[in-house]
Amino acid sequence: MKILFKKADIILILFFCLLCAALLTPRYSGSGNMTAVIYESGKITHRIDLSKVSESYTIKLANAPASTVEVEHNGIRYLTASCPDKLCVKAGLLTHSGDTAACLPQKTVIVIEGGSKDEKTPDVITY
Amino acid sequence: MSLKISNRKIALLGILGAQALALLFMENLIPPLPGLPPGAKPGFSNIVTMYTAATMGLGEALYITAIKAIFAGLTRGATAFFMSFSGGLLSTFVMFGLMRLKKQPFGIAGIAVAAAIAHNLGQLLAATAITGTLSVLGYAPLLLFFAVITGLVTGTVLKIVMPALEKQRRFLT
Repeated sequence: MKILFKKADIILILFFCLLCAALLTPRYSGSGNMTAVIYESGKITHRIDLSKVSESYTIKLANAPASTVEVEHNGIRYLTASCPDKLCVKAGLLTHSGDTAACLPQKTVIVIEGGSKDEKTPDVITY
Repeated sequence: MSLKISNRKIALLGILGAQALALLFMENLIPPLPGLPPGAKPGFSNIVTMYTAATMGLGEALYITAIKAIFAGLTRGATAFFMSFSGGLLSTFVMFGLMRLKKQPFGIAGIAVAAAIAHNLGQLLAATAITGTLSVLGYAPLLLFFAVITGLVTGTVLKIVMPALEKQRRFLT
Protein backbone atom coordinates (compact mmCIF):
# COMPACT_ATOMS: atom_id res chain seq x y z
CA MET A 1 0.00 0.00 0.00
CA LYS A 2 2.80 2.32 -0.75
CA ILE A 3 1.81 3.66 -4.15
CA LEU A 4 -0.85 6.33 -4.58
CA PHE A 5 -1.84 5.85 -8.22
CA LYS A 6 -1.68 2.71 -10.28
CA LYS A 7 -3.20 2.13 -13.69
CA ALA A 8 -6.29 0.40 -12.30
CA ASP A 9 -7.03 3.41 -10.10
CA ILE A 10 -7.29 5.75 -13.07
CA ILE A 11 -9.64 3.34 -14.82
CA LEU A 12 -11.81 3.05 -11.71
CA ILE A 13 -12.03 6.79 -11.24
CA LEU A 14 -12.83 7.47 -14.90
CA PHE A 15 -15.47 4.75 -14.85
CA PHE A 16 -17.28 6.25 -11.89
CA CYS A 17 -17.09 9.79 -13.26
CA LEU A 18 -18.63 8.65 -16.53
CA LEU A 19 -21.27 6.64 -14.67
CA CYS A 20 -22.28 9.67 -12.63
CA ALA A 21 -22.37 11.89 -15.69
CA ALA A 22 -24.62 9.40 -17.44
CA LEU A 23 -26.92 9.14 -14.44
CA LEU A 24 -27.13 12.90 -14.00
CA THR A 25 -28.25 13.92 -17.48
CA PRO A 26 -31.77 12.57 -18.07
CA ARG A 27 -33.08 13.70 -14.71
CA TYR A 28 -34.69 17.07 -15.17
CA SER A 29 -37.48 16.33 -17.63
CA GLY A 30 -40.63 16.91 -15.64
CA SER A 31 -44.16 17.12 -16.91
CA GLY A 32 -47.05 19.04 -15.56
CA ASN A 33 -46.92 21.53 -12.77
CA MET A 34 -44.32 21.61 -10.06
CA THR A 35 -45.68 19.26 -7.42
CA ALA A 36 -44.27 18.63 -3.98
CA VAL A 37 -44.73 15.07 -2.78
CA ILE A 38 -44.40 14.26 0.92
CA TYR A 39 -43.68 10.69 1.96
CA GLU A 40 -44.24 9.54 5.52
CA SER A 41 -43.01 6.04 6.39
CA GLY A 42 -42.99 5.15 2.73
CA LYS A 43 -46.50 6.32 1.89
CA ILE A 44 -47.40 9.49 0.05
CA THR A 45 -49.38 11.65 2.42
CA HIS A 46 -49.43 14.97 0.58
CA ARG A 47 -49.32 16.01 -3.03
CA ILE A 48 -49.23 19.76 -3.39
CA ASP A 49 -49.23 21.73 -6.61
CA LEU A 50 -46.80 24.45 -5.66
CA SER A 51 -47.67 26.69 -8.56
CA LYS A 52 -51.21 27.03 -7.26
CA VAL A 53 -50.21 28.07 -3.75
CA SER A 54 -51.02 31.72 -3.17
CA GLU A 55 -50.40 32.14 0.55
CA SER A 56 -47.82 30.21 2.57
CA TYR A 57 -49.07 27.76 5.13
CA THR A 58 -47.58 25.13 7.40
CA ILE A 59 -48.25 21.43 7.75
CA LYS A 60 -47.39 19.30 10.74
CA LEU A 61 -46.03 15.86 9.93
CA ALA A 62 -47.40 13.04 12.03
CA ASN A 63 -44.43 10.85 12.97
CA ALA A 64 -42.17 11.46 15.92
CA PRO A 65 -39.75 13.31 16.12
CA ALA A 66 -42.17 16.01 15.02
CA SER A 67 -41.48 18.45 12.23
CA THR A 68 -43.36 21.21 10.48
CA VAL A 69 -43.28 21.89 6.77
CA GLU A 70 -43.84 25.29 5.24
CA VAL A 71 -45.49 25.42 1.83
CA GLU A 72 -45.23 28.55 -0.25
CA HIS A 73 -45.64 29.52 -3.90
CA ASN A 74 -43.20 27.37 -5.89
CA GLY A 75 -41.31 26.36 -2.77
CA ILE A 76 -41.46 23.99 0.16
CA ARG A 77 -39.18 23.42 3.11
CA TYR A 78 -38.89 21.81 6.51
CA LEU A 79 -39.45 24.69 8.89
CA THR A 80 -38.77 23.07 12.25
CA ALA A 81 -37.75 19.59 13.35
CA SER A 82 -37.07 17.86 16.65
CA CYS A 83 -34.61 15.33 15.32
CA PRO A 84 -31.03 15.59 16.64
CA ASP A 85 -29.28 16.54 13.39
CA LYS A 86 -31.87 18.78 11.70
CA LEU A 87 -30.43 17.95 8.29
CA CYS A 88 -33.95 18.25 6.92
CA VAL A 89 -34.16 21.89 7.93
CA LYS A 90 -30.61 22.53 6.74
CA ALA A 91 -31.58 21.35 3.26
CA GLY A 92 -33.30 24.71 2.87
CA LEU A 93 -35.97 25.75 0.44
CA LEU A 94 -36.76 23.25 -2.32
CA THR A 95 -37.60 25.06 -5.52
CA HIS A 96 -36.62 22.89 -8.49
CA SER A 97 -37.77 19.61 -9.92
CA GLY A 98 -35.79 16.84 -8.24
CA ASP A 99 -34.90 18.82 -5.11
CA THR A 100 -35.15 16.56 -2.10
CA ALA A 101 -35.11 16.92 1.67
CA ALA A 102 -35.49 14.09 4.16
CA CYS A 103 -35.72 13.55 7.91
CA LEU A 104 -34.51 10.02 8.51
CA PRO A 105 -35.42 9.70 12.21
CA GLN A 106 -38.91 10.76 11.27
CA LYS A 107 -38.92 8.65 8.08
CA THR A 108 -40.21 11.51 5.96
CA VAL A 109 -39.09 12.74 2.56
CA ILE A 110 -40.11 15.74 0.49
CA VAL A 111 -39.44 15.61 -3.25
CA ILE A 112 -40.41 18.00 -5.99
CA GLU A 113 -41.70 16.22 -9.04
CA GLY A 114 -42.88 17.58 -12.33
CA GLY A 115 -42.30 21.14 -13.34
CA SER A 116 -40.55 21.85 -16.60
CA LYS A 117 -36.83 22.20 -16.66
CA ASP A 118 -36.13 25.72 -17.69
CA GLU A 119 -33.27 25.66 -20.17
CA LYS A 120 -31.80 28.78 -18.62
CA THR A 121 -31.56 27.63 -15.01
CA PRO A 122 -28.24 25.98 -14.11
CA ASP A 123 -28.12 22.36 -13.00
CA VAL A 124 -25.93 22.90 -9.98
CA ILE A 125 -24.79 26.13 -8.41
CA THR A 126 -21.71 26.28 -6.25
CA TYR A 127 -20.52 29.30 -4.36
CA MET B 1 -10.34 -18.71 27.40
CA SER B 2 -7.70 -16.08 27.21
CA LEU B 3 -7.76 -13.35 24.61
CA LYS B 4 -4.34 -13.09 23.12
CA ILE B 5 -4.57 -9.42 22.28
CA SER B 6 -1.54 -7.64 23.51
CA ASN B 7 -1.95 -4.58 25.66
CA ARG B 8 0.08 -2.65 23.14
CA LYS B 9 -2.38 -3.49 20.39
CA ILE B 10 -5.25 -2.36 22.57
CA ALA B 11 -3.46 0.90 23.18
CA LEU B 12 -2.77 1.42 19.49
CA LEU B 13 -6.36 0.68 18.53
CA GLY B 14 -7.51 3.06 21.22
CA ILE B 15 -5.37 5.83 19.81
CA LEU B 16 -6.47 5.13 16.24
CA GLY B 17 -10.09 5.09 17.35
CA ALA B 18 -9.65 8.42 19.09
CA GLN B 19 -8.07 9.85 15.95
CA ALA B 20 -11.01 8.65 13.86
CA LEU B 21 -13.42 10.29 16.29
CA ALA B 22 -11.47 13.54 16.31
CA LEU B 23 -11.64 13.64 12.50
CA LEU B 24 -15.38 12.91 12.65
CA PHE B 25 -15.93 15.76 15.08
CA MET B 26 -13.88 18.16 12.97
CA GLU B 27 -15.82 17.21 9.85
CA ASN B 28 -19.13 18.04 11.45
CA LEU B 29 -17.95 21.59 11.94
CA ILE B 30 -17.82 22.13 8.17
CA PRO B 31 -21.06 23.78 6.97
CA PRO B 32 -23.16 21.86 4.43
CA LEU B 33 -22.20 22.47 0.80
CA PRO B 34 -24.96 23.80 -1.48
CA GLY B 35 -26.14 21.35 -4.11
CA LEU B 36 -25.37 18.34 -1.92
CA PRO B 37 -27.58 16.79 0.76
CA PRO B 38 -26.70 18.40 4.08
CA GLY B 39 -25.31 15.23 5.64
CA ALA B 40 -22.58 14.71 3.05
CA LYS B 41 -19.12 14.97 4.57
CA PRO B 42 -15.53 14.60 3.29
CA GLY B 43 -15.00 11.33 5.15
CA PHE B 44 -11.60 12.05 6.67
CA SER B 45 -12.03 9.35 9.29
CA ASN B 46 -11.71 6.85 6.47
CA ILE B 47 -8.01 7.63 6.55
CA VAL B 48 -7.77 5.86 9.89
CA THR B 49 -9.94 2.95 8.77
CA MET B 50 -7.88 2.42 5.64
CA TYR B 51 -4.63 2.55 7.56
CA THR B 52 -5.94 0.05 10.12
CA ALA B 53 -7.24 -2.28 7.43
CA ALA B 54 -3.94 -2.21 5.59
CA THR B 55 -1.57 -2.62 8.50
CA MET B 56 -3.59 -4.54 11.08
CA GLY B 57 -6.40 -6.47 9.45
CA LEU B 58 -10.14 -6.68 8.94
CA GLY B 59 -11.19 -7.21 12.55
CA GLU B 60 -9.23 -4.20 13.73
CA ALA B 61 -10.66 -2.04 10.92
CA LEU B 62 -14.16 -3.18 11.84
CA TYR B 63 -13.42 -2.15 15.39
CA ILE B 64 -12.69 1.39 14.22
CA THR B 65 -15.91 1.31 12.16
CA ALA B 66 -17.87 0.19 15.20
CA ILE B 67 -16.37 2.92 17.37
CA LYS B 68 -17.40 5.56 14.84
CA ALA B 69 -20.91 4.18 14.63
CA ILE B 70 -21.32 3.93 18.41
CA PHE B 71 -20.07 7.48 18.80
CA ALA B 72 -22.61 8.66 16.24
CA GLY B 73 -25.29 6.70 18.04
CA LEU B 74 -24.45 8.11 21.44
CA THR B 75 -24.26 11.71 20.28
CA ARG B 76 -26.86 11.87 17.54
CA GLY B 77 -29.29 9.02 18.09
CA ALA B 78 -30.18 5.59 16.76
CA THR B 79 -30.69 6.68 13.16
CA ALA B 80 -27.19 8.12 13.07
CA PHE B 81 -25.79 4.83 14.40
CA PHE B 82 -27.57 2.85 11.71
CA MET B 83 -26.45 5.19 8.93
CA SER B 84 -22.84 5.27 10.10
CA PHE B 85 -22.69 1.51 10.53
CA SER B 86 -24.25 0.71 7.15
CA GLY B 87 -21.89 2.98 5.31
CA GLY B 88 -18.89 1.97 7.38
CA LEU B 89 -19.51 -1.76 7.14
CA LEU B 90 -19.80 -1.81 3.36
CA SER B 91 -16.87 0.57 3.02
CA THR B 92 -14.57 -1.47 5.28
CA PHE B 93 -15.35 -4.75 3.55
CA VAL B 94 -14.81 -3.25 0.10
CA MET B 95 -11.58 -1.61 1.21
CA PHE B 96 -10.25 -4.79 2.80
CA GLY B 97 -11.33 -6.90 -0.16
CA LEU B 98 -9.53 -4.66 -2.63
CA MET B 99 -6.40 -4.62 -0.50
CA ARG B 100 -6.26 -8.40 -0.37
CA LEU B 101 -6.53 -8.98 -4.11
CA LYS B 102 -3.63 -10.96 -5.45
CA LYS B 103 -1.20 -8.78 -7.40
CA GLN B 104 -2.66 -5.69 -5.69
CA PRO B 105 -3.93 -3.89 -8.79
CA PHE B 106 -5.14 -0.85 -6.88
CA GLY B 107 -3.11 1.87 -5.24
CA ILE B 108 -4.18 3.98 -2.29
CA ALA B 109 -6.20 6.44 -4.41
CA GLY B 110 -8.33 3.73 -6.02
CA ILE B 111 -9.04 2.01 -2.71
CA ALA B 112 -9.94 5.32 -1.08
CA VAL B 113 -12.34 6.18 -3.91
CA ALA B 114 -13.90 2.71 -3.81
CA ALA B 115 -14.26 2.97 -0.03
CA ALA B 116 -15.90 6.39 -0.29
CA ILE B 117 -18.33 5.17 -2.95
CA ALA B 118 -19.14 2.06 -0.94
CA HIS B 119 -19.74 4.22 2.13
CA ASN B 120 -22.21 6.42 0.24
CA LEU B 121 -23.93 3.43 -1.33
CA GLY B 122 -24.32 1.76 2.06
CA GLN B 123 -25.87 4.91 3.48
CA LEU B 124 -28.17 5.41 0.48
CA LEU B 125 -29.41 1.84 0.89
CA ALA B 126 -29.97 2.45 4.60
CA ALA B 127 -31.83 5.70 3.89
CA THR B 128 -34.04 3.93 1.36
CA ALA B 129 -34.79 1.20 3.87
CA ILE B 130 -35.60 3.70 6.63
CA THR B 131 -37.82 6.00 4.61
CA GLY B 132 -39.46 3.24 2.61
CA THR B 133 -39.19 5.16 -0.64
CA LEU B 134 -36.72 5.40 -3.49
CA SER B 135 -36.99 9.17 -3.73
CA VAL B 136 -33.95 9.66 -1.48
CA LEU B 137 -31.89 8.26 -4.34
CA GLY B 138 -32.33 11.52 -6.22
CA TYR B 139 -29.01 12.80 -4.93
CA ALA B 140 -27.20 9.57 -5.71
CA PRO B 141 -25.33 10.54 -8.90
CA LEU B 142 -24.10 13.82 -7.43
CA LEU B 143 -23.12 12.14 -4.16
CA LEU B 144 -21.22 9.42 -5.96
CA PHE B 145 -19.37 11.96 -8.01
CA PHE B 146 -18.29 13.79 -4.87
CA ALA B 147 -17.32 10.44 -3.38
CA VAL B 148 -14.73 10.16 -6.15
CA ILE B 149 -13.34 13.57 -5.21
CA THR B 150 -13.35 12.98 -1.46
CA GLY B 151 -11.81 9.56 -2.03
CA LEU B 152 -8.96 11.18 -3.93
CA VAL B 153 -8.45 13.69 -1.13
CA THR B 154 -8.44 11.11 1.67
CA GLY B 155 -6.19 8.80 -0.33
CA THR B 156 -3.69 11.59 -0.89
CA VAL B 157 -3.77 12.64 2.76
CA LEU B 158 -3.18 9.04 3.82
CA LYS B 159 -0.15 8.80 1.58
CA ILE B 160 1.20 12.00 3.10
CA VAL B 161 0.64 11.09 6.76
CA MET B 162 1.62 7.44 6.36
CA PRO B 163 5.14 7.94 7.79
CA ALA B 164 3.69 9.57 10.90
CA LEU B 165 1.14 6.78 11.35
CA GLU B 166 3.83 4.15 10.92
CA LYS B 167 5.98 5.87 13.51
CA GLN B 168 3.02 5.83 15.88
CA ARG B 169 2.55 2.14 15.31
CA ARG B 170 6.20 1.24 15.72
CA PHE B 171 6.26 3.14 18.95
CA LEU B 172 3.46 1.03 20.36
CA THR B 173 4.09 -2.46 19.00
